[in-house]
Amino acid sequence: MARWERLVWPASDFSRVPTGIFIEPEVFEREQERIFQGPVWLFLGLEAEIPEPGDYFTTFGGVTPLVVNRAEDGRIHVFVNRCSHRGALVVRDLRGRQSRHICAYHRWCYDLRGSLVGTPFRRGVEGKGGLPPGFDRREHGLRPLRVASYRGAIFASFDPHPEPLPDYLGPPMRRMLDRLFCKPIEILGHLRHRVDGNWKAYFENLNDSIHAGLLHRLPVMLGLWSNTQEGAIETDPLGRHAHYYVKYEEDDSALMGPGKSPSGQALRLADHAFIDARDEWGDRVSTDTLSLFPNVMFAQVSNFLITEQIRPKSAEEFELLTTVFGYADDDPDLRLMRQRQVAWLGPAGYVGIEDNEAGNLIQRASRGQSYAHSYIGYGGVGPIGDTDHLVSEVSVRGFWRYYCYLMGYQPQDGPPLDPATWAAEAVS
Amino acid sequence: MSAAHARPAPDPALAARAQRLTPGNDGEPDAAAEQLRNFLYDYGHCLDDDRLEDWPAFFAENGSYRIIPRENLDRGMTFALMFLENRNQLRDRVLVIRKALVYAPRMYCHLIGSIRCRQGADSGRFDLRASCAVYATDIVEGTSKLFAAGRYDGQVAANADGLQFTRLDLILDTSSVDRQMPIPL
Repeated sequence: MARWERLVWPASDFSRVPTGIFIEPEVFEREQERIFQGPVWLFLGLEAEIPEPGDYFTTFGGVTPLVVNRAEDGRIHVFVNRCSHRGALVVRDLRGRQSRHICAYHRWCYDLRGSLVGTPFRRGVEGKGGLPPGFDRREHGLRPLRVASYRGAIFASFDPHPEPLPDYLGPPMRRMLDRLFCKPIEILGHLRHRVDGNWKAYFENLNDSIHAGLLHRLPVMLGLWSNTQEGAIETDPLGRHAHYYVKYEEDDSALMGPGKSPSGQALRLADHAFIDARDEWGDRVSTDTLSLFPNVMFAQVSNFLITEQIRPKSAEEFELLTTVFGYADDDPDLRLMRQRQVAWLGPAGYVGIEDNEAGNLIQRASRGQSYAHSYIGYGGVGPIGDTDHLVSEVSVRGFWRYYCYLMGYQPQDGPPLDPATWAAEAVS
Repeated sequence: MSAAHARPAPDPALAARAQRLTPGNDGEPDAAAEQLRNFLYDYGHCLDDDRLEDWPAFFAENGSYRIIPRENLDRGMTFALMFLENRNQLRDRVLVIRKALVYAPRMYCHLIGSIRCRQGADSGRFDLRASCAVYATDIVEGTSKLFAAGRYDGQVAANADGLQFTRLDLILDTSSVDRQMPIPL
């Protein structure tokens, strides 16, 4: 039996997760085929990064290098960054503007749709060499992916017939994105870091709201967080994504500026600039995050607006690419506020640092323990659905259920996994 | 050592020029350049010794500290991953590190070199640039690796308190940070 198959899921409510899922290389390889190159939509970036025809950036779908570019007709095309000739990387930089992509190795030339348009020495030199007479360029383009955008967020799929993107997202997720991308945006910068952990441990972290007040002590010490705050976690009908939000208190006491510091703080800061926030949407939502299976979080934390793309590198390493943006009509004060609030997230952010640490702690403890299980029970076991409170890790179980379905894992104590029944279970 | 590797006799013209332009200094008296170099070395040693409480004192009251990925800067974006605008914010950062933050304790080792300083627009102010490499040692594993490469770009003021940064930017070549960057570099 293959090693990936020896990992056991004892509970059909996914309250127990086999530890080997975080460290086994075989599991990682299978994820690339079954998930990242499977029937999912992968988040790749924002349209605002490539506003003009010819603009491109390189990224990853799972471990596979991809090129995302805008063609002359304004449409976005995504292809595998691998020359169809001898398999070399075609585009070698992070981003730029080009009318053609030319492979450095043998100068095969592709247009912005990934079609092969130029091959040197096609007829050889003085009648010798060259490509065979029947060579058809149309059969040698770059491998294209399906592409769809939602509100300027670019997604692609290796599956030639994925479900429509709006359906894949589901209504609560679309509402979150409608709010986050409510007007034209401007990219402010990128932050990247590599975590010596497994990408799924990070996804668990995103879908677990209970850790927020436990691992992250600073917001508690500053009186900015309590587990009794108004908030909720919503999922899509299949329970694979999670939308999580928290609201400021009615009296706005959490919207602190200098001089507005609440009493009873366990930690006294000399300068509150990074806590100073503005209710931009007029809905008192202080934190609004969306984790979409399998590779992205969208977030508004105070006025810090980001996408966070998860890039698995191996079973033991992943990279996070944080894209920070504001709105095109930001006033200078708001822009400064967004920059100050980097204190929370990213490689040097107080919350980001701790989430990365948690990912590594799981990694270090998993070695040699492939057949042990972790326990997920907050918010109850049993059916997977929405919760109207934050003391929950239910949506972590939702992540694992869809993961197992794609990977071909079956829980030991229940019927075969059938997504058609999940929506009804959540309601009951 | 063979004769072929022996150092050639110094060229008198070059030697005279070298005296005028001490390494890392354009026309400033040697003493000032030496002071600025030592200031920067002391800065690195302060962080290497985990004397974080002393770190804000290297800055003027309104001195700023930023870590900016070069990846952003090269595209005209100054977005910083650490952004502190004054000494109070620097002190707060240290307070949070000490009292609240969960992170991997690592030992840091700054190698600072290629220092250039120039008299700034105002007297008593100097513009400073230096290259830096920071090694991090995992205290549990005991292994060291290059954690960050980049350059310091700053402005130093000489006043009654000695030298202080009125601005210090670390332009970080290492775009993809190894797990986390809790401590200033």
